[in-house]
Amino acid sequence: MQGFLSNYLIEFGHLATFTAFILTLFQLAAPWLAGRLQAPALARSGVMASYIVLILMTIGGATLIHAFVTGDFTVKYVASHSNTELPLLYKVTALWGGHEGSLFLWAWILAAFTTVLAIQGKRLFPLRLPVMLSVQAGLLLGFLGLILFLSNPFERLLPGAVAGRDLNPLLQDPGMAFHPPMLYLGYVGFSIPFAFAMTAMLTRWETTLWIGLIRRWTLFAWTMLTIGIMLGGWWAYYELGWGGYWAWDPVENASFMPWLLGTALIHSITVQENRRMLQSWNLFLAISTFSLSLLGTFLVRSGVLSSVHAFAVDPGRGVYILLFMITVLVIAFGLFLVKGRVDSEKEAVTSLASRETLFVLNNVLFSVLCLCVMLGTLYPLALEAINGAKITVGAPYFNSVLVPLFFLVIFLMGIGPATPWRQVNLSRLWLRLWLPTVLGIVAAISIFVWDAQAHWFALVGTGVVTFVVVAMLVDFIHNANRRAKQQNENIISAWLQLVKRNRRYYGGMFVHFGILVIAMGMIGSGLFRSEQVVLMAKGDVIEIGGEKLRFDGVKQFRKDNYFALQGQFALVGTDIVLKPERRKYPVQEAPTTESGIHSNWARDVYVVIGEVVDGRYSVHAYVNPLVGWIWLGAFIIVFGIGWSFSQRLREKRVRASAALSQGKTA
Amino acid sequence: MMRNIWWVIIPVLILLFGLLAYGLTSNPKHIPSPLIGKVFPTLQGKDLNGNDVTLGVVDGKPTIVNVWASWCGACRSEHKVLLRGARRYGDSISLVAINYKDELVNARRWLRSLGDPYQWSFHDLSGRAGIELGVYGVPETFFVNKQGIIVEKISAPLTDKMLADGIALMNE
Repeated sequence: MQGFLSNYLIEFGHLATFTAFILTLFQLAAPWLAGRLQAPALARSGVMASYIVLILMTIGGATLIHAFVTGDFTVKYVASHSNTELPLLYKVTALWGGHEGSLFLWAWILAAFTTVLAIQGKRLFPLRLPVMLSVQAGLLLGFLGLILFLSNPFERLLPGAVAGRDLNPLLQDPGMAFHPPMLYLGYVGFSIPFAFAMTAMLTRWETTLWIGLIRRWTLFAWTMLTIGIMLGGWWAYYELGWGGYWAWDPVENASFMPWLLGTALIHSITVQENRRMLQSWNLFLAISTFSLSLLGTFLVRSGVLSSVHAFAVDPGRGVYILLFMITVLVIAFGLFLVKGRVDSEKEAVTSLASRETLFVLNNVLFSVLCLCVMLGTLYPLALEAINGAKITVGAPYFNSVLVPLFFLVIFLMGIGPATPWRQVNLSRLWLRLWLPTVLGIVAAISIFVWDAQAHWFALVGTGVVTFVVVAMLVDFIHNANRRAKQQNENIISAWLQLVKRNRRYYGGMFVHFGILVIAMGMIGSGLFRSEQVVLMAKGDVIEIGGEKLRFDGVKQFRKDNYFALQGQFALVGTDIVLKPERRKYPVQEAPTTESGIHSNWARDVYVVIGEVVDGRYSVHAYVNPLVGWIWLGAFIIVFGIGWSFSQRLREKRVRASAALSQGKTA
Repeated sequence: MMRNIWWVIIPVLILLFGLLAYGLTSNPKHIPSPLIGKVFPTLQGKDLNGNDVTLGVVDGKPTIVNVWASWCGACRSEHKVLLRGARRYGDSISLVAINYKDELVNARRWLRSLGDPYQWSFHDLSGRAGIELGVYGVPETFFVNKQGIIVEKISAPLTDKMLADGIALMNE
């Protein structure tokens, strides 16, 4: 087209990525070479290498995005995932709409994280940094190798295609556009605690000196993973048209497993910070959490399990990712078995009735939850390997095994904050917990009175959630009163000061509260949903879950790259109109459904329009109580994390002491 | 406790790796049909030109029954395989079809413009035959031997190799 450079832009990006690969190889070897050659400058050069790798990867990514935006269909990846009529946003996000680009995004984010780590490490732990960068480089190398040699997004298609096969229509959606990057920020973010753990074992770096540093990294990765999972659920809810948001699909489970262990890690870090316990356990968790991120990537990208996420499958790639994963896991766990054992004499529990015991219980529960999810996810594979039977493990297993365990976890949220470190005075604990207990039981009974047929999950769930909410309030009021007395403040300013000054603690409480809100949303929408499938002609009215819904016919129109058939459903007695759509994307020859949803705080009315049968439309209508609470809870969680992050004071102290003691030991 | 952790981590990892490696060799999309080994059910109906036809009556030849529809995108790529197959295997097999939940006009236009490899297509507008045969996605293909017994069912677009393998099974 115009000029030499724009013609060969993709080759330029390809070259940049290849150069990044070479540099990463160097970065991996740098600290070992430095030791061999007695050249410390060589070790320090890893920092510069990580900057350059990020720049090179960014050039590579930019050329790909450029190819998408300008519609360069001589690039094979662009030709199979874009189209001239695709809206601009999706042209950009189509970068991760397929296998090759999505792996590229993984590596790109990893390079970015490595760079941030290098910047942080230069100041705080310069002597350990080369080893840490070497670990990160090893991971990046694995992915760059896959990108360059087995699934290359820079590959040309000559002669070029005329129009492009378009992005999978299901992915042409704002929720889906940002679901993968968020998820990857989470997956990849866990590589940092992993690198810390590996470096600690390789260089005999005492856990206590760096555990404070990985707290933020872990929290950040956890938050991104949470947002990613939530976006996925939200998208599934309004786009797939089955009225639900979570299906225990293997790939959903794959993202849920690192989430569960990551949650355990966040809590066990707190224990170690406060009581210097669980050192080996933290190493183990840091390694395992990232291993599960890798497992998740493998499950999604290899297609070994039957799943909605299994895209085009290429066995060569599956073998590569598996071998890479085996290498990482064998090295990591091998190292842990050899060097990960910290002398346990230092770890003394003062009393079993203490906050640290509850934290340990929390960790046990989250690990068991994670194991149960893993068992259910891999069981079909195991069974097939043994006797060739094909089964899928579905919601009944997961719900009946996991939900009771989750109730226990939530229950701990209530007693944890009321229990002090070291030892609890049981009668004082009861003083704080009798009111929550009574109100929890009352709540459970009122659910029973309201609906005697309700599932026991609903009774116990509501009871436990009420217990925890009240316990948190009691804890808050108790602390506020104490503060008001000590500081001579009035009670309102004591409340505000309390939340403002203990950001980390109350940030955590906000997150807990967000989880409770989500739990209520799941209880409501999971156990009290109304559902109807009917044929409706224009003017027909149905009654569902206390709402009246009138069908006012359909509209047909063409927009962007699709044709739409849009149903008009009025909520009788209001001027609210629900507009579910069925879309046809001519290039991909694939239909999608867009559900029509009206939400308020109490319920969602949710309509999907189907095929015409004898002049009438088949209509699937749901009323999902409290489903909006799930998304609200997610916002509360993100706010809580933000609040907790805004406390820098303590963090600074940890950093100063870490820097100081590193100077001594090294 | 930490001393014994070897005995937990190592077997778990080996088991996990073995399982995943096994997973790579198997295809999760391939689901064996309970109909394999059973007699193909007999169904009467019309073909696309309105003639009476009967599914499931075998005239001494192995029979391939292909389920297709004009609204099915994947059928388009499979169609080329079937046209090639019809030419290659000619009279040694019969190739018939079930036209699944499709409008007559669209089905006829499809065969006119892309070519018609089938002896006839059973017009299954209501999906009745589909229910009888447990069809859950188009395209699907049944391989029926000379005795009228289903020996293989493929629930994916056929490739040349799948077609050849299926025919080999029918002739066993």
